[in-house]
Amino acid sequence: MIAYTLSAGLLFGLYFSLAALGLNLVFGVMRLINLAHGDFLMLGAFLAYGLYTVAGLNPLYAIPAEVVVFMFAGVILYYAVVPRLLASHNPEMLSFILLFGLSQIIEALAVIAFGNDERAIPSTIYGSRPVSLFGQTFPVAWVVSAAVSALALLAVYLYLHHSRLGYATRAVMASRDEAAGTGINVHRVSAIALGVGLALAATAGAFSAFMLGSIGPDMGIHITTVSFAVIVIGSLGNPLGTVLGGLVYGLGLMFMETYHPSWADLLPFVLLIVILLIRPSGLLGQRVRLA
Amino acid sequence: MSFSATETASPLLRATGLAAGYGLLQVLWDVDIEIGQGECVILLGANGAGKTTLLKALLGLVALWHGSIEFKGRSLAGQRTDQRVRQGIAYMSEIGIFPNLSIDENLSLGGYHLPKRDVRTRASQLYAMFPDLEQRRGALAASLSGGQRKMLSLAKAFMGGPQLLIMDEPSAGLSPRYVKEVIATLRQLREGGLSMLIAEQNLGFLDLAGRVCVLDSGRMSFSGGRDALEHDDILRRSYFGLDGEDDGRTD
Repeated sequence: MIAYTLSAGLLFGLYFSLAALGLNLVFGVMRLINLAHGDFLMLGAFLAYGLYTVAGLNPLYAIPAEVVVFMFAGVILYYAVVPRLLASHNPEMLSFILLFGLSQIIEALAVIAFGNDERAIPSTIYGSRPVSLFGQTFPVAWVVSAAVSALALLAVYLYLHHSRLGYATRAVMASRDEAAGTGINVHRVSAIALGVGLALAATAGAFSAFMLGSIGPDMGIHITTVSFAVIVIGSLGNPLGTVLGGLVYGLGLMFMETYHPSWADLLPFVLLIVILLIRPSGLLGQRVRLA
Repeated sequence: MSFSATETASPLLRATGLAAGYGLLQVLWDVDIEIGQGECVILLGANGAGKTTLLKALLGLVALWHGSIEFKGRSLAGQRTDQRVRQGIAYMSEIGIFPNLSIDENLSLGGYHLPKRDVRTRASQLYAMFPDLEQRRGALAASLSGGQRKMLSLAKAFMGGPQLLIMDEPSAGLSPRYVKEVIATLRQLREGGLSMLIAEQNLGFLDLAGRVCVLDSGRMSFSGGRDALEHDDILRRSYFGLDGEDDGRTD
């Protein structure tokens, strides 16, 4: 039982790392909490669901479309909203109100467009034979979701640490003014970061039908809460800390689901409060201070 | 590395009637300042006098309420900070580096607008100037000592080949030994023709100055040669707290 819980926790941990990574990237670059993060994940889920129902497309192959659409949406959203927010006297408070409003609007429009029904993509799309991993068997859809998550996390690492745009992104995370004074177009870098953040959320959304059981217009707020817990556990503003936060959350969730399933929904809130009380800077908080 | 400068009648940078502040708080009041080609101007002022705000206003990091800024005879109005940097203005803030990036990455970002090949060439030239940095090029900038951080900050600022270097308190947090090193490096660069505007409180930097400006409560209260400053009794007493013949210059 323990081996199964640990293995499943690893798979779900990778998935929740991907789900939360975009939120942390956006916070790191803009110091704004994107309260509509989960709603963009939900839209990504419905895009994958739509491509599956209309064209029979495997969510794996929906990823390129997800990335292009949500990168574009992120860049548009940035230039439409963020420069004005950052120029205001109280950008943190204004962003909370504005992004909460955006979250509500997206959810309402999704209800109008798709209805309130829960939807699912059958996991048998990847075949009905389970996969053996660490001596345990899991649905192929879980393993594919975790593998895609791991690849996406690796891609973000390479982008941040092995490209000049990535250096510039980390520079903006360290200090927006210092980055601008170095000759970096901070708006361009931030717009791309928001685009990447939304594309990551949408990619996670494509697999949410498998990992969360079903999708619906009201899933956004839950995902935003879980993502917030994950990045606080790892370290706010440190994208790589998200991986650690995701793994801690995934393992915790699996242990709760296995031994105390009725308490599992409380986990994100309990972890959030415990981490904020005992280590407010997160498990990798030292690195944030360096940044 | 040399910075060619040509003496011309028009200044390299001219700012006129600058007013700026934060929120409802006005910090700068009708400030004028000019920096000639190859000239080094030291900007003095007590804490809170508005030195950093003035530098940031010149860079576009603080929005102007009034006034105009020209660089090489062209208005900088409406230009973002990065566009000003690309025109040849380099900024070295008090921090001056990205501590979460390696030395190599910091230098690479200093030449962000240059082609990759030029970045490598310029980085090699700067590593030759600052050999201590080359030995640790893969290390995090956060691991450097205060003096090494300043050198990295200088090297990063020079990556883009600036004509004007704007520095905010380069002596901040440095021991006297490192302050001397920084001054010696800046002297070399000034002799190479680089124009500089240096906001400082350390009087040792006056040796570099072609001209000195004093900012007092957001207003320019003095602009002139170093000799004129040293013989201005009111400034000596009110700003430097000095009396008699010994000017108490520190390094």
